[in-house]
Parts: sequence; structure tokens; C-alpha cells
Amino acid sequence: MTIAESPLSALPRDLHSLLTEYRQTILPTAQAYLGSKVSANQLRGQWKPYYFGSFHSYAITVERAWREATGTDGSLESGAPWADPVYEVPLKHFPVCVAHNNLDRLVEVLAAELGEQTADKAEIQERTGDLAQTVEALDSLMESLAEQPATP
Amino acid sequence: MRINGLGDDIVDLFGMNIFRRHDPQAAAGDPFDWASATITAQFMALQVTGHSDVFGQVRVSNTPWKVEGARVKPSPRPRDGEIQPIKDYTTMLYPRFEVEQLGTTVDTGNTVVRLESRVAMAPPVGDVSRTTQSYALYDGDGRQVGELLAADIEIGALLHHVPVTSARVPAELAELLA
Repeated sequence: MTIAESPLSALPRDLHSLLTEYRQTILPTAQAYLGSKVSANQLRGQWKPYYFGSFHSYAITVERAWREATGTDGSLESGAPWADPVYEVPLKHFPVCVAHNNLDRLVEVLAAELGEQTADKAEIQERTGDLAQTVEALDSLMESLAEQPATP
Repeated sequence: MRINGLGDDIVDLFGMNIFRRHDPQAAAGDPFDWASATITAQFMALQVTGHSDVFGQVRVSNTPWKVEGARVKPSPRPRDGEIQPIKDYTTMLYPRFEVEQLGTTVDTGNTVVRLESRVAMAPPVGDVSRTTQSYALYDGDGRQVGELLAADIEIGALLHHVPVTSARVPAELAELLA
């Protein structure tokens, strides 16, 4: 996103870039982890640069798009926002941020439980299933939003 | 969850949580914005229920007579011009488990259960908080009868929101959440 470009209009392109990197880096690593070919620490090692790098940049764009749409300056306001079509575009991207944040915590707890061990050693298999479902669902979500135009 | 004499099982629980969110606070001299704010909440009621082939019906509630709550803490200050949309969220509670096949209620004793996640909004709808350690489970006589291997809490939806004029943090809760 260039300095002069509106964050609202930049969102689909920024998300497309994020999705491209996600498919090149995270999806293969997650699949390798689920196949017990890489350890939980290796999964975390691939995830963190993506999360704190490309995703963080995207999350800032989402935040800026929210502020552009609502006219807020980031100060805390009391009460819920009014229902208004101006919120539509940034609100569509909020679930992408929520899913990334949830994945970050999941990767953390997998690394805390397993460290250098692989998924087949996990005692809590439910979380391995969570990873498989979330990684796939996030890919689908980002793909659906990356194809949509910025303006409603 | 593991209960001695019964076995292990993963139990999916569904229900409702009622909490009172306090007025956000910023440290003296800090701007009052998302990055700098501390946001805390007090648990009023947690009631979730599920079924397990091993344990029968399981109902989980919180312990209102103990100090329980949640906190979103200040983010590291962003560089000039940047926005910090992601913050750390910690939930601390004393869950109680009514286990049908055990015929009694077990809990974690005096050990608070911590669940953590990262959030970009409050209330954190869609957030999944997770534990990173196991917790011993005790019966009413203080005997260990099992183990809470892991707990994950997902906030499905905001059902109802009632604004209150002001909700201040009780002193005991403030100490726990500090």
C-alpha cells in the first residue's frame, strides 16, 4: 500500500499478497507438520515471521480502513458501533485477523506441548485437528475476500 | 480431561458466559487509545454443558466466590505513525466440573486456570483462548481425582450487551489481573 492510497481500496490487494505468501509458506509447513514431517518448533519457526511480518502489515491496513470508514482516531469509545454500510468492507476483513490471532495462539500451545516433537506425539489430538481445520478454513476465507472489490 | 477410574475424553461444551467489562484505563501520561489501554472484565456467570461417552453429562461453571476475571493488557508502544492492533488477552478462572459418572463436582482447588489468546477487538468475538499446562482436579475433600489436560474457550457470539454507567475493578480482582 502506498502512502497516498486509501486503505479501504488497498485491502483486497494486500489480502491477495498475504494469501500468496500464506500458500507458499504456511500451508506447506502446516501440511508437513500434520504429516509429522516437521516438529512443532519448526512450524512455529515458519509461522512467526509471517505473523509478525506480512500479517501484521495487513492487520494495520484493516485497522486503518476501519478508521477511514468510521472517522475514528483510535481513541476508545463507549458502546457498540451503529449499524452502518460504511463498516461493511473493514468488517469483512476482521475475521481474517481473528483467525490469524487464533492460529498464533494455537501454534504457541502446540510448540509448548511438543517442542521438537512431531504431531504424532501430541497427547491433545483435538488441537491437531483444530490446526488442520483452521488452516484450511482461513485459506478459503482469504480466497473469497481477495476476489471481492473494495467498494460495496 | 482425565478422571481416575473413568478414563480420558475430550468434551465439547456449549453455553453462556456473562461478564461485566470495566471502564478501560490508561496509565498516567499515556494516550487513551487501543494500544495503551488496559481492559479488564469480571466473570459473573459461566454455564456450559456437554456430553461425554466416558463421563456422561458434564457441566462446567465458574466459582463466583473466588476472584476471577479477564484482562487485555497494553500493547508495546508502536513507533510513530504505526498502529498496534493486536493485544494479549488473559482469562483467569476457577472452573467447576459436575461429572455425571463421577457423581460429584471437581475443581482445580486453589489453582487458577489461565487461558490466553491474542485479540484485536473487545469483546473478542471469535476469539479462542487456550491453556498451556494441565491442572490437577480435586474432589470436595481435597483428594486429587483427575487432571484437566487442556481447555480451549471459543467466544461464539455476543448475545446481549447492557451498558452500565460505570463498572470499576474490585480491589481483589485488580490485584489478580495486574
